[in-house]
Amino acid sequence: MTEPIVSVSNVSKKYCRNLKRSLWYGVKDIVSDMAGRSKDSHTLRPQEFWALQDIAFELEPGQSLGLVGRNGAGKTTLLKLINGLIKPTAGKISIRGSLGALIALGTGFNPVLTGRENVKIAGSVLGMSPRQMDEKLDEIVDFSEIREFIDTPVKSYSSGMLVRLGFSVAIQLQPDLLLVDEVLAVGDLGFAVKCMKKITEYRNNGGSMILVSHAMHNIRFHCDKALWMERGRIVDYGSSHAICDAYELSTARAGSHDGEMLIADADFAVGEVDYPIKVAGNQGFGFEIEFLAKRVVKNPIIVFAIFDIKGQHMIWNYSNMDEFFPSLVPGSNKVKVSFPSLPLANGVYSITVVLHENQVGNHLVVCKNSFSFEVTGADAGFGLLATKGTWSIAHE
Amino acid sequence: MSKSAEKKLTVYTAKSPLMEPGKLFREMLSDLKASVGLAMRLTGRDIAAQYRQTALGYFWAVLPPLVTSLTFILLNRANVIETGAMNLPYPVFVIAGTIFWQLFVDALNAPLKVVNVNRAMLSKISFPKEALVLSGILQVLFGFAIKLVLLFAVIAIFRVPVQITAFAALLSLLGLLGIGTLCGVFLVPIGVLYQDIREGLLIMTGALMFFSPVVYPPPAQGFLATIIAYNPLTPFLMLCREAFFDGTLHYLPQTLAIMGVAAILLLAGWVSYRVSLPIIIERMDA
Repeated sequence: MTEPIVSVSNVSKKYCRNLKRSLWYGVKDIVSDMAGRSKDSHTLRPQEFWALQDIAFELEPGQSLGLVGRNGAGKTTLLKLINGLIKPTAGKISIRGSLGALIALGTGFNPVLTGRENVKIAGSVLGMSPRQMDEKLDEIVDFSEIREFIDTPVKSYSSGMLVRLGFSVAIQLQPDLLLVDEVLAVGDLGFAVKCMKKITEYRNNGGSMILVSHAMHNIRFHCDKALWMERGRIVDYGSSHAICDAYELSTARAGSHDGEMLIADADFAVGEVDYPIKVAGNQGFGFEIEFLAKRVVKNPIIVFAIFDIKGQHMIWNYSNMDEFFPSLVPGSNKVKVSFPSLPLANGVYSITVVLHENQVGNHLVVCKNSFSFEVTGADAGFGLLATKGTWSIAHE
Repeated sequence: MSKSAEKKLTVYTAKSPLMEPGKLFREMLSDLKASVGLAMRLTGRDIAAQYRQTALGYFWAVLPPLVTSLTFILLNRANVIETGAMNLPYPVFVIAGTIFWQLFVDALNAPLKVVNVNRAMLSKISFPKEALVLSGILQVLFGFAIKLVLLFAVIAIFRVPVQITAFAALLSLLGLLGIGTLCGVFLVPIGVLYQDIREGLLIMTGALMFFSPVVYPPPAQGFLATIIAYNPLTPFLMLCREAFFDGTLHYLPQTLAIMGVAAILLLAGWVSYRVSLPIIIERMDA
């Protein structure tokens, strides 16, 4: 039996809302730690709250886990605990093997020093020996694609260039477990794709990963398992596709500010489906959205958009441009949109639905990147679109 | 990925690390070993960054003791400061004193300074934290080396003979560095949480200088004489000067005794630094 690479058991972490009090608690905690008295705590002092409560999961070697949840759910705090930067208030975290992190890339860079000098320091901070660093330096610089600026002080770098350099150093380490916090969307599109390739390569070599991302397609694509957290607690844990679907549906249910409009449900209008949703290439499909309205919306404009994994707009359709002029009535309104043929290439896509009233820009509900699906079996070469061409030849 | 079958197991719990002292000390030693290379890189970074954007460069390292010394030399000329009969030219006395004293002050300030400079790194990257203190010490030594050039220049100008016992001064300098670092490390936990410490430190060290034999020899009697006699830094400063210029080692036994106590306290300071850092880090995210 293989031992888990990470085992998190009943981990809780409390924070204090008030700064002055937090500092004072800090002093007390240090004193009690120095006196050798600290142990698991399950009670809150005034002004404290649970940032994490009773988090438990295990990850097998080679597996990847996605952490999903709204801002403030505790995802980053959990990563910090696993990274050993802060101590749990209760519970136990065990890590078997080496740990690396792609978090806050470019931290510790000094603006006055050149890219090359900063790379050497960053490598050293992450635990590379000077010899390893000399061996890897060329590779790092090549990967970052900023060779011509490498001897320029980094204060003249764009933020994208800094992140490129930071990623290039951090990914060299090949740890047993990699912690990744929202960095897959770094830099420009080309580089983001390169980063993702590098991460896929790392995973194919047997590396484990914990990924925090708000982009569900990244979680689906890179992770086997997912953990959904809200307010420091686990909502659900399971296969990444099942968790992403459940999470997406919960975010899709988000309604308008005044509570008068709600997307109650949305799904692929293909009858019974298995998750993950797979759409055959070139086959066209339908999508159904249920709007729950409390009042009449006379002139709704509905947006249906599809993004690819890199965030590119594949389609962005307005209902009025498709000459569809419905009105929404109080109660349930099931709107269906279908595409007889959608020539998407193989890959993972996500759907965004927006409801405007009267004119574009007057949003009632935005449901962004909330449903994912995968296109398979599209019969084509390369490119964003997969469509059959009709060829002919004429001879004089 | 490491291929070894036996993979290192790391465990984090709420328990105080002092509950397992053996494990704590093993980790301290292995982290210290892992820190050396990093500390040197960080030192290089900070020194380069500090001086690259200045026109005067390394001259800034000698400017503070030079200004202090010149002030006291002028005061001495004006007979504001009465030093009595001395077998050393006053400028040499005061420059040597301020340079030795500055070593202590720099070492005292270094741990807190280097932790503050690296706040972002501490709260986001996992690395052996000993590297920061080590890098602080290296930076202090670098500054001291430059100041020594000034000292030897002054010695040459005044043609003061340097005694063979000057080697014993190294011990005393090590002591000043160690005691400064020790106090600085103890101040890190509270000093990072409360800015008051940084403000207070500046005033305290300024005042402490006058209760130490830095710019004048200890008076024979009176209130000041008592304080200076009980000041644990006095033997170090006295030994430095006597070893350099008088060829005597009267203060050597006292210095060694205090260093022994300091070594034990330094270990305690190191433990407190390690134990408190995770608690500090979660409070300095901002």
